[in-house]
This record gives sequence, structure tokens and C-alpha cells, in this order.
Amino acid sequence: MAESASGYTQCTRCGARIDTTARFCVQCGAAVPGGSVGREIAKTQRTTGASRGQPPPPRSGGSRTGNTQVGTGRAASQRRTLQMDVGQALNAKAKPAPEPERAAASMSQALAEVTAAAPSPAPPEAQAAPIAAILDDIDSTFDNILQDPRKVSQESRPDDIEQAQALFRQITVAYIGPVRDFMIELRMGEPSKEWIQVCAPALASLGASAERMGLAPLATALGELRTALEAAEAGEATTFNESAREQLLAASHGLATLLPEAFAVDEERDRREPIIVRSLLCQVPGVRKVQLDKLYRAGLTSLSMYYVAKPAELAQTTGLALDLCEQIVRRFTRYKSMASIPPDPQRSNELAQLERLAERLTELNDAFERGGSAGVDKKRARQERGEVMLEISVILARLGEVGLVENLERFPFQRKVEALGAFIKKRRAADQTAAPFGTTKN
Amino acid sequence: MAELTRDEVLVKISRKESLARADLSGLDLSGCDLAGADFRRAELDGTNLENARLLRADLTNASLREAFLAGADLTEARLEKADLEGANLKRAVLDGANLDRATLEGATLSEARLRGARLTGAQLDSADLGGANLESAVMSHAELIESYLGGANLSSAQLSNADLSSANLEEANFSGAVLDDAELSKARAPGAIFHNASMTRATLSGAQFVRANLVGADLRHARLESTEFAGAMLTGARLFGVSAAGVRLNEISAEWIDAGPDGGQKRVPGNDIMALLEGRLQPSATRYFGEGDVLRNAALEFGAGSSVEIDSRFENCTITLGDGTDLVIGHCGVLKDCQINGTGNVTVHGLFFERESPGIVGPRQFVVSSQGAVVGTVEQASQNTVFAFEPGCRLRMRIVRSRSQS
Repeated sequence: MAESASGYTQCTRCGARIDTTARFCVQCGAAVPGGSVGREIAKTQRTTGASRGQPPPPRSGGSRTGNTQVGTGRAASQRRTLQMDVGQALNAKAKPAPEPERAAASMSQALAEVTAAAPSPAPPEAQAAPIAAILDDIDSTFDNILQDPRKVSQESRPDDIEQAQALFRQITVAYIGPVRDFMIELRMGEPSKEWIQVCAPALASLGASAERMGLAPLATALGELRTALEAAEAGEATTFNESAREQLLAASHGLATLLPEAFAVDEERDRREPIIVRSLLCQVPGVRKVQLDKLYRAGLTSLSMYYVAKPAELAQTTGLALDLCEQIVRRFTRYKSMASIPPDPQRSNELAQLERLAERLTELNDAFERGGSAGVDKKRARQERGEVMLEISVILARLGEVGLVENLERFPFQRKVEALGAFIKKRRAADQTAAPFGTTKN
Repeated sequence: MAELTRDEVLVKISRKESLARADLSGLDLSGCDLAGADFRRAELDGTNLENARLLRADLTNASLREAFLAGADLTEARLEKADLEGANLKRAVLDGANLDRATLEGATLSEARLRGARLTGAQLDSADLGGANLESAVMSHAELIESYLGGANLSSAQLSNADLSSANLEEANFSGAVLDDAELSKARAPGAIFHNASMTRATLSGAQFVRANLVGADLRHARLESTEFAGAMLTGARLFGVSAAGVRLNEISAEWIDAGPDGGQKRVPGNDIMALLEGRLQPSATRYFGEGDVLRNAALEFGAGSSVEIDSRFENCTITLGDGTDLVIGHCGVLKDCQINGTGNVTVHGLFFERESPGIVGPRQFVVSSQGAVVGTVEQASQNTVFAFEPGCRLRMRIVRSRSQS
């Protein structure tokens, strides 16, 4: 955030003008870096971000001395402690739960649960009293915000509500993962209608919570998307047809403005799709640089194009051999049928597949390293290693791990294996500690 | 494990200290300016050198297995005998680099620039060179078995004795390249360009040259057994001495091919090309009299369309040429006290001395090269002989009209 002498600053994420006293951007909900509060929030984001495969926001460095000068009196203290407590609460949520429990049925309940479950760190004796007072403060303020927004509006300053709402948006982004994945799938192809079962409950819960938080426009927009989703369920087709797709995309426009991190998915799709398309094409025997160039020159760069392409048309457009075009179309059809199946919120199928592929990669790499002395066909092992990596790239891209795909390319194979293992382990751990909103923990 | 950190490496580089034999494996040196650095015998396995500046760096004998060198600038770098197995050199610049006897097995060099690079004896088995620019690169004796050269530019590259068996050469450009004695068996080169490439004695057995451009390519003495040329362009290709059993020539395009022997040209038009390549029209119409042989007091007669090359010594012989027969007196050929009759094409690189005037009667074309010498009288053909004399030729010659004209 770039601070100016006028008392306003600019959000580094969305560019919106915000007050220097604010801890969050009111437009996008991004944390304003600085001080202990900023660090707590950053921790929260990393935890939730990891669970949904999102990159963490930039970490704040050092303390913001300006805050102590600007924020004085009870209101400033309340704002600071409110954020600190939420940070602690969410951080505590990232730790393994003591026993299996049902996920919160709503956002307010989720927040209440984690607040209640959060063990307060033992403060030094000298600071115990003020911190206890601060905690009491935050508890009462936050309860007010969640349970009766009207009461809050009477007792709290407007910027307190704004910040709480911003925090709500931020948490929503982390919990909206399945809906976000669905919207990306919708832009890339024709997902199965089974996605409705995954998305509708989440949208309903979020909508209700948004309403309670006094975020009427957001609640309305969530409701519109839910309605469009349920309307699309009618009909015998198992996938969303073109008109349903258009209606759903139109219904999501409002959300893209209100929750850009969750619903402005075009950028994310543009990151994932090229990796998926290229990896799928390279899996077809006979597709190398020459063929890729011809396909891309013909403008065939998106999944949806390959889904509808006919081999003869493809051959005519690109000049490629008909039998090769048939293989390409078959490969994309196979992928389409696989991709149309909605994943469970934890993406356990993909992770299981990734685990299998990582194991296979390990085997192949070991065989390759043993080499000719062990009677291994190194050329074959090398080729198979490459093929496995293409499959891994597709899955990682589907999981939104584009950065990991790019990093893996830079690593030697042994490190690739290690990095994949570490990723799977981290992902599994995150899934165990944080079930997505509106779902049940395993 | 690397023995130095990235910062320590950069400090050493700034002090112009050598990093020879240093263990830098797995280090992230991406984007670093390492121009002119000394990395001889250094361990750089798995090192990230993405977009690094390694201009004129010395990496002789260095180990760079699975190193990531995408976009690195290695212009004029020394990489002799370096181990780059499995390295990623995508879009790297290696213009003028020396990779003699380097190992690049399974390496990725797609869209890399290697103009004028030296790769003599380099091992590039299974390497990906798709779209790479290898213009004028020296790759003699390089091993490129099962490599991918799709869309690569190898114009004027030197690939003599290179092993490209089972390589994928689709749509690669080999214009003016030298592939003499190269091994191309089972290579796949659909749509590749071999315009004016020299491929003498190359082995193309079982290879696919579907829709390839072989216009003006020199394939003399090449092995073309079971080679697929469907839809290929072969106009002007030199095919003397090829072995072409089982060659497939569906829908080839060739106005003519050159079936002439070394140093000579013999155009074979249209339908005869098929017959020649399929072995039905043997270039056996060419008779060759080699150096060291002496033939005296003989009368020789060669049929129309045949070809004769003489590097022997003929004394007191009479040679009768059919219509259009090519007679070449080679550089070592000497015809003493001889007479040549008939409407053939006579080319003299050696010596000709007539027995009685006119020593040469009725040639359609009479050419004396710069090395040639003629002593005698030429009686022109009824439709005037075409003469050509290169500067430097020695002539004591008289030209007279045809007796039928006079």
C-alpha cells in the first residue's frame, strides 16, 4: 500500500483509495500491511490460502509507526484489537482440531466457533491485564457485528463495520473455493450439473451470512447466482448447455465486482488453461513443436475449441494429418468427460491421482538413475518420465497450482519428486485442519 | 550440495575469481551476469541459470546435468566436453558457442539459437531441437539418434558423418547443408527442405521423405533402399550411383534429375526418373575407362543417349558416338592419334591429339575446360556445332564446316 500525505493510501491489490487508518481495503478486502496486526492477518491468509490453493498475499514487513499516531483513543484501540483477535482466532483454526467436528453451517457460526476454540496465548504478566481487556472488547464487538448489525451500527464507528465486512469478504474468498473452481470450469467447458450439489449449499450459507453482516448487495448477488444455478438444473442434459452457461456467467457478473478475488476468474482461467491445453496436446503421440505451432496459429488455444472440434475440420484448418486430428479430439473428449465430474471440496480424487503419479515418477526416476547398468532402457524411462510430468501438470493446473507447475519445470527430476511430495503432504494437512465452508470435515 | 551461496558466487565473479571445480549444484543463479566466468570442471547439476548471462563463459568439462538454462545467453561460451544431459536450454542463445564432444542427451534445446555453433562429435541422442536455429553449425560426427529437429533451421550446417537415424526432421530446413556420409536410416523428414544439400554416400534406408524438397540435392552413391519419397520434389537431384531397391516414388515431382557421374551432368527427363530410381533404367549406359588403363588400335561405338568418361590413355583409336551421347575426356584422359565421329557432346578436361585431319567430326557440342588441350581439326555438325572454351585451355585447333554443308 502506497501511503500519501493526504491521509489516503492506495491498495496494492485493487488500486482503490483507502484511509491510512484502515487495516483492510474496503474494495477487495486485502490486508493493509503493518505491525503485529498485519502479521496475524498474513498468517491467516497463508493458512486459508494454502487450503484453497491460493498464493499468499505479500507479507508485511516491520511495524507501522504511523498507525499509533493516527489511531488514538478507544475506537482505534478497538479496531486494532478486533483485528488482532480475528487473526488469532483464524490462526488457531489452522491448527488441528482436537476432535472431529461438523463444519460451521454459516460464516458467523464459523467465526464464533473458531473464536471460542482459539486458546489465548499466555501473555507476559506485565501485559496480561490490558490484553484481557482488549480480548473482552473484541469479543463483544465481534458478537455484535455477527449477531445484530443494527446494534453495531449504533455502537461502532462506520469504519469498524467496513473492516469487519472486508474481513468477511476475505474469509469468503477462502471458503468459496469450490464455487470458484466451478466458475473456472464453466468458462473452460461444459461441466457436469453435479456441480450444483457442491455449489448451491455454499452459496446459500454465504448468502445468509452476508445478509446478517449487512452486505445486502453481496447477499443479493450470491442469491442470483444460486437461483441461476438451480434453474439450470432443469432439463435432462447432464452438463450445462450454452444458454445455461451464459445465464450463469451473467449471474456471476455482480459477484465479480463485489468479490473480485473469488469471482473475477478470467485471469485465473488464463493461467490454468494454457498449461492444460498444452499438456493434453503433448500427450498425443505425434504432437510436437511443429504440430503445436500449427494448432496455435489456427487460434486453437482453448479447451472449449477442442471440445467442439471435428477431426476433419481440425485437419482442414491446421493442415495436420486426419488421423492425428482424430487422436487429438479423442484426447480432449476423454479429458472433458473427466473434467465434467465435480470434485469433492478437498479435491481428494485429484490428490490421490497426484500421489499415484508422484510414486510413478519416483520409480521412473530411480530406474533412470540406475541406468544401463541395471538393464534399464534409459531412453524409455526418460520418455515415460516426461509423459508422467505432463499428467501431473494437468492436475496441478486444475488445482490452481500454476506457480508449482512453473517451478517444477526448473527443477531436476529428483527435486521435482521431492517438491511434489511436499506439496501433497501440505495439502493433505491443510485439508485435515480446514474443511471448506458449508461442508463436512472427514 | 553447493559449497557457495548465490551471493558468494556473485562476489567471486565481481572479483574475477575463478570458479573452476566449484560445486554450485542446485544453486539459483537465475538472471545473474556471469559473462566470461571460469567454470571449468565446475559442478552445476540442477543449477538454475535461467536468463543468466554466460557470454564467453568457460564451461569446459563442466557438469550441467538437468541444469535449467532457459533463455540463458551462452554466446561464444566454451562448453567442450561439458555434460548437459537432460539440461533445459529452451530459447537459450548459443551462437558461436563451442560444444565439441559435449553430452546433450535428452536435453531440451527447443527454439534455441545455435548459429555457427560447434557441435563436432556432440551427443544429442533424444535431444529436443524443435524450432532451433542451427544455421551454419558444425555438427560433423554428431550423434542425433531419435532426436527431434522439427522445424529447425539447419541451412548450410555441416553434418557430414552425423548419425541422424530414427530422428524426426519434419519441416526442418537443410538447404545447402552438408550431410555427406551421414546416417539417416529410418529418419522421418516429411516436408523437410534439402534444397541443394550434399548427401553423397548418405544412408537413407527406410527413411521417410514424404513431401520433402530435394531440388538440386546431391544424393550420389546414397543408399535409398525402401526410402519413401511420396510427393517429394526431386528436380535436379543428383542420383548417380544410388542403390534404390524398394524405393517408393508415388506422386513425386521432378522435371528432370541428374544421373551424371562425378564431375559430369546427365539429365534424365520425366518418366525415366522412375525407371532409374527403381533400377529399371540403370546408369549402366555410362561407360567409364579408369586411370592407368591403356587402349590401343581399337574401334569403339557408343549408342544414343549413353555416357562415356575416359580417364585412360587411348592410342590410335576410333570412337563413334550415337546421337546425344556424352563423351567426357577426364582430367587424366589422353587420346593420342585418335578420331571421334558422331553427333555427341564432347567435353575435354584432358588431352586430345588427332591422328588425321579432321580428328573430330560432327559433334553437336564441343567444350574444352581450362585444364583441357586439343590439337587437331573439328569438322562441325550439319547444324553447326556449339563450342565453348574456358579461359586457360590450350588449343591448336582448326574449325571447318560440315562436308555436307560445303
